[in-house]
Amino acid sequence: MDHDDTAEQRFRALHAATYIDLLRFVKRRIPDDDADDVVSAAYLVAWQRLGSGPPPRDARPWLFGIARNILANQSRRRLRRGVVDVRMVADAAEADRAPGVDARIDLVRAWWALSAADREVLALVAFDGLTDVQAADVLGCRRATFRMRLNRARRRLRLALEPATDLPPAVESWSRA
Amino acid sequence: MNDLEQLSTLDPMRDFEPGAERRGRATAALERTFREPGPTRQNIARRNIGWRLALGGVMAVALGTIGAVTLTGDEPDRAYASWTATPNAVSAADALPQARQCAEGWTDGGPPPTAADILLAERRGDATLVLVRKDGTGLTSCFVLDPEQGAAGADLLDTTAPAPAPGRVRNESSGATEGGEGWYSSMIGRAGAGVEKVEIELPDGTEVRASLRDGWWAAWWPGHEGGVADGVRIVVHTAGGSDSFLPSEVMG
Repeated sequence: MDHDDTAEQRFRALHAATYIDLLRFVKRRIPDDDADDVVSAAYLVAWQRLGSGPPPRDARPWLFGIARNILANQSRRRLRRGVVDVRMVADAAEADRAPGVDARIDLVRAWWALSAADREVLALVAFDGLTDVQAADVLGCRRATFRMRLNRARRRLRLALEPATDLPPAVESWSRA
Repeated sequence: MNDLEQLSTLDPMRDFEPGAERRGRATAALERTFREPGPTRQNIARRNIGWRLALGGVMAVALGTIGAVTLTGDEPDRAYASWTATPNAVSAADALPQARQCAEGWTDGGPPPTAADILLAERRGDATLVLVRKDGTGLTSCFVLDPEQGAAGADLLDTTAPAPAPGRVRNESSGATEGGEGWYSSMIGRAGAGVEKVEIELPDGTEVRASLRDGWWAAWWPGHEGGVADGVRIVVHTAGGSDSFLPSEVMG
């Protein structure tokens, strides 16, 4: 087995271990029709960056970060803004068919009352199942920064779930200290 | 059940499993990836060319429905894909090749820079940003997004103004550039005594940490926000706390 075969074998193993999670990550953020192509592009970037070295110990957030950068670049070019929003959350109609109807509808409404930045932070933990360390890797920030953003987003989510409450500004990226 | 656990019940992908056909397409895409020029089979001189061809080919097919820009070959850049919000400091000696690449674009000649001329150098992924003294007094900022391509952009900075007040910053240069590799923005400025950290907050919440050295700070990021009036905020950290400013509030 030569050097290239070894590298390919390692990358096949990485692909097998991460493909479904990466596809889910991307499908949460863009329409299904485009998801496969972004996933393929992310693996191409990963393959080129990896070279002959071993994959990172925690490959999932590394791949998520690559995919997020691809999506962010596309988003910036199309929309002139850099938000990588989580597009698809079960909507009210779907919630209506599930147990705990009222609570689920309230949760969906609260979700969409948040800023895209808050939704992204929450989704990395609640949907993508990442730890704060992994999520910080995806966003390229420090763990403490992510924890602060997560706590703020959770607080705004709780406020949004309280009826007739004056919410803090939804777009809270700018915060004066 | 806490709020995050409640939210997780709304995840539409929670039970998603790709079918056999989709998995087959993914496997085929992976095999195509292996047929593209890879770092293990290319020397350094060819690797970046291989990257561009490979990514352009895939993206034109892969992302054609996302934006027409991909169809024109304006694919996401390798440097952008590897970009990080937190920079890695680079020693002056390590950044000297990039500083000399920048000096190749100085039309008025002069001796090539030495390591002692490098005021600040940082890397974000594959891209290097350096602040290089010129002719002993002038200062230029220079981007090398891709070492194969040389300097992507440079700017002459004003060094004559006095340093900002303690705990304050000044924005000396900001803007966005669209090259063949997409938009990137930069902000460069001076920092007064006691400034411990400078961050740029983008509209999507991304916090871009600036490099800070010898009273100068610098940051760049993929995107065009630096070219939009007050399109970002500058957050200045000192021992006493943090303050957030619009760029227009600290313009030089």
